[in-house]
Amino acid sequence: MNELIRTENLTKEFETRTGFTGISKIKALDNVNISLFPNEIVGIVGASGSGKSTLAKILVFLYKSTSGKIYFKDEDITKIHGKSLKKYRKEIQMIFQDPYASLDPYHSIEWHIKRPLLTSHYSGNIDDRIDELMNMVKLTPPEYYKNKFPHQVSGGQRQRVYIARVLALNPQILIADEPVSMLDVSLRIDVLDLLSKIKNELGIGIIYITHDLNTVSMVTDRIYVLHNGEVVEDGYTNTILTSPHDGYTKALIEAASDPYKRI
Amino acid sequence: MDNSAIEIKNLNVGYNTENSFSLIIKNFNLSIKKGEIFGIAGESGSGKSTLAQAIYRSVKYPGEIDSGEIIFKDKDILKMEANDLRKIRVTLFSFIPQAAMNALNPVRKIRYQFYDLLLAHGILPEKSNDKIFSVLKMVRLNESVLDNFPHELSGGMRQRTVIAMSLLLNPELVILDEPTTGLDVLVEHEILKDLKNIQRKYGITMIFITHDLAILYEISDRIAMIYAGEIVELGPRDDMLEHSTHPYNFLLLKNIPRIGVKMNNPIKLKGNPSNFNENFPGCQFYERCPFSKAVCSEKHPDLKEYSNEHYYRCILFPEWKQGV
Repeated sequence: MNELIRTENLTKEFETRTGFTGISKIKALDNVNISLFPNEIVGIVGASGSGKSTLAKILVFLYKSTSGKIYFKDEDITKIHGKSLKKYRKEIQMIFQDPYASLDPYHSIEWHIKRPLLTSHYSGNIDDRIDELMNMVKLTPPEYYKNKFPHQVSGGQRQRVYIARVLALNPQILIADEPVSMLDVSLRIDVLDLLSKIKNELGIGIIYITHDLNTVSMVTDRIYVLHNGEVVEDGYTNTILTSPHDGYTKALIEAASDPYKRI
Repeated sequence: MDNSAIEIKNLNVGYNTENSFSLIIKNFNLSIKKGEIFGIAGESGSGKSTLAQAIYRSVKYPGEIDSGEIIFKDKDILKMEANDLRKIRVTLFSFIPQAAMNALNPVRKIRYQFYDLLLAHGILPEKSNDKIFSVLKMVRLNESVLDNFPHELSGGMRQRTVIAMSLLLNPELVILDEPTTGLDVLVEHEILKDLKNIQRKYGITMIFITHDLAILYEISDRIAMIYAGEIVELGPRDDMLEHSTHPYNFLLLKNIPRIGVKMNNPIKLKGNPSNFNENFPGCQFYERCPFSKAVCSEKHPDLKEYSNEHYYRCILFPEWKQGV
């Protein structure tokens, strides 16, 4: 099977001003090569400042890369714009960290899920589709939640609303940027289970970005470890977590919290 | 000789709403021993930060301490004159609130912020440079940070600075509310290790409050789990880990993902946090408990002793545990 998305020597430099006239460059990503296949969850792991969110934003075209190429189903999309970019954006969707900020407080949950269906000119019965999506993310019964507003439901449910919203467009790729770090411990596992379920049922590829190795070990098939913009280690999750080679990966594993450990 | 560092008796804290007063912390009793790290765990809305503020008597309107006693050094903090309270803060006990690293004055160098603190307690800063250097050393910061502004330091360094400030006047008790939230995993791990080393070396009593159960179990000697403003389980760390007596603690521990441990459909909590109903006669945990039975909704459970120093608040124990 072919990759859904693949990057080739992706590099991103940010410019910062130093003094009055000087400009210095910071490399946020340095020759990053990653790939994602259908029906798999790939983890991008790193501490803050490692460039993991920059990578996500480049993949959804919120940032432009400085150099390097992005392939979507073997087609070079590095320079797409206009209509073809719009089409591509339907295929790749992003879930953000803060479910409290990503929903509009003035609108009902039904509105949030309906919007993408309307704007994408969904051809079938919109109400049926909304019910189907809400059932998929386990916001059941749908009637109970439809007319509620974001502040009336918990953080975990808000994250589900957001997931239903992005699934409305039938994307082939989901990018989840720290989707559970703002949630309470008791709600995290449900959202992670939901991601696995979506992967299995819809066969889509998910990129899961996090600094938390514990959750990575639970949901991902493969991981890439990023450090200062470079991929320092990649491979199957189990292999890396049990026998890491890179010093940075070892430090991350050492720092991962575990109630059965003692500091 | 009394062994407790601080004792909380029948504490009631609540919040004023538009037309009523709702209790968050209800009849709270707790005694914290000298020289231990006491961990307090709870989800958002469980009242753990309110509790921390109440101990330091810094609850602000609309919050209000309704009644109760907090005995520290044979005196009731809640009945102290404001001036006396100001004197013992930082010198005898200090509080690092949530997101404390953002509490530093952005337009003042770190050095002068240390001096301000000393002056407020009537100590001449010029003579205390050695003391400042020694607390900076404790938290493994270089002396050069004194000449930096807060924005020149990283988040972890700012947090270390705040911890150093709180230790400056040799307090016997330090309350830490989510001290590492918002920090990077690696930095978090380092700071936790340093805190534990300082605590063990100088015998400071620490109250450590967080929602991150894994961290809490890593660092604490004794742990209290709080749900809806009440202790649902309290005990030594090892006992709580191996012989959980309350479903809340048991299930949260089961639901923490760990490296290399496969989860086979663990039993999950039902419902959502923060739906606390004050007037509900039964167990507050009733709606979220997968083991709950009709009796749970009728009578409010009392705190019972399981073994030495290990308490739980559940009617169905040990019945529920036989099923798992």
